[in-house]
Amino acid sequence: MNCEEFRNRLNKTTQSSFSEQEDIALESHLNSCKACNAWLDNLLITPPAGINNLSLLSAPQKCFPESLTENKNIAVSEDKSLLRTYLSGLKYGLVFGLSIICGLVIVELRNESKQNVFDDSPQIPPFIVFETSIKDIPSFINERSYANQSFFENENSEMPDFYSLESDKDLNFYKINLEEENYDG
Amino acid sequence: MNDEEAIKLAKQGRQEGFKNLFSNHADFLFSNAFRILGNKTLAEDAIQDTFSAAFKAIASFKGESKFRTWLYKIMYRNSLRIIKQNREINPNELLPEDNESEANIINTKLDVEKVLNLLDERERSILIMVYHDDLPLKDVAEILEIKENNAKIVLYRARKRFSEIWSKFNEKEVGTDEL
Repeated sequence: MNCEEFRNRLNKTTQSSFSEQEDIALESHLNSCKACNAWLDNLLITPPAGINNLSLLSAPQKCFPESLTENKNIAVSEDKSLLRTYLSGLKYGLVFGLSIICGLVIVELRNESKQNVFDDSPQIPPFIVFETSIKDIPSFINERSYANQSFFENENSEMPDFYSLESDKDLNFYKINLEEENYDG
Repeated sequence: MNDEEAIKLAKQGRQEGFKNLFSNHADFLFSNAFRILGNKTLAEDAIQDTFSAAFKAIASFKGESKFRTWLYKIMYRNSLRIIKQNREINPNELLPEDNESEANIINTKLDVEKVLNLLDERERSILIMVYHDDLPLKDVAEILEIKENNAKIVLYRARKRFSEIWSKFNEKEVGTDEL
């Protein structure tokens, strides 16, 4: 839209032909054109003839809000609300503080009770040293019986088949044991 | 007492603050509301509601806009609400107009009022606020909740319509009924 078109369209629009789209188009031109803005500002300075005849009407006193008695206490109620906020904050603070104190007391009591239990129990020296050596192991526990026991215990289990593990050197003694037992049997 | 001092007192809940604010602005607001609504009783209700709402919310007024602009905004919204309510009650009728004697009581100059009544609410308000109440166009745009350049277009259109009707009315070529 150029300036001439803007001015023509602005002059043509009346209330009956007014549309929002037209308004948007005119406004967008006005936003981008300084010349038209200045032209319109200049036109709008002068008031239309007759409008100055309007008189200022005096408002009746009864327009003063009747409920102003409630408004008297606006500032007071504001203070009250501040006090209420402060008190509620204080309340929550107290609850928080008390809960922490209770927690500490409970922990302390539990520690004391634990201490009492230890006090009642027979005194055990803090360190007991068991002196053991290989010699102390009973003689009936030898490598062979231990091995046999392990094998037979696992015979019906889902352990891998030992016969298939012939190549495993570590398991050779199991095989030997088994052969010996079969021979004896 | 100026607005600033009166607002301070009102924020402290002091009656004289409210009274000063009322006396500083009530006439302007009432004149405007009467011209928007075209009815004295409804205008009184609108002004009472406006001051009541403003005084209740005075603590929230931060002074970002002028106090009068703030009041006008509340009044304009109240007036539009009243118009809407009346249209819902009487959809086929416009607002009840005051009779001539009632208008005479409040000393209106009937010719201008009649011409203004032929415009729509927004055109009427913008003409009065800009040319009668001398509010800056920026504030008027804020009150009407439109952009400043849009307000210029609305004002131009309202001004043109008013001038056309006014000249016809004064020449008495046609009666206002035919307009």
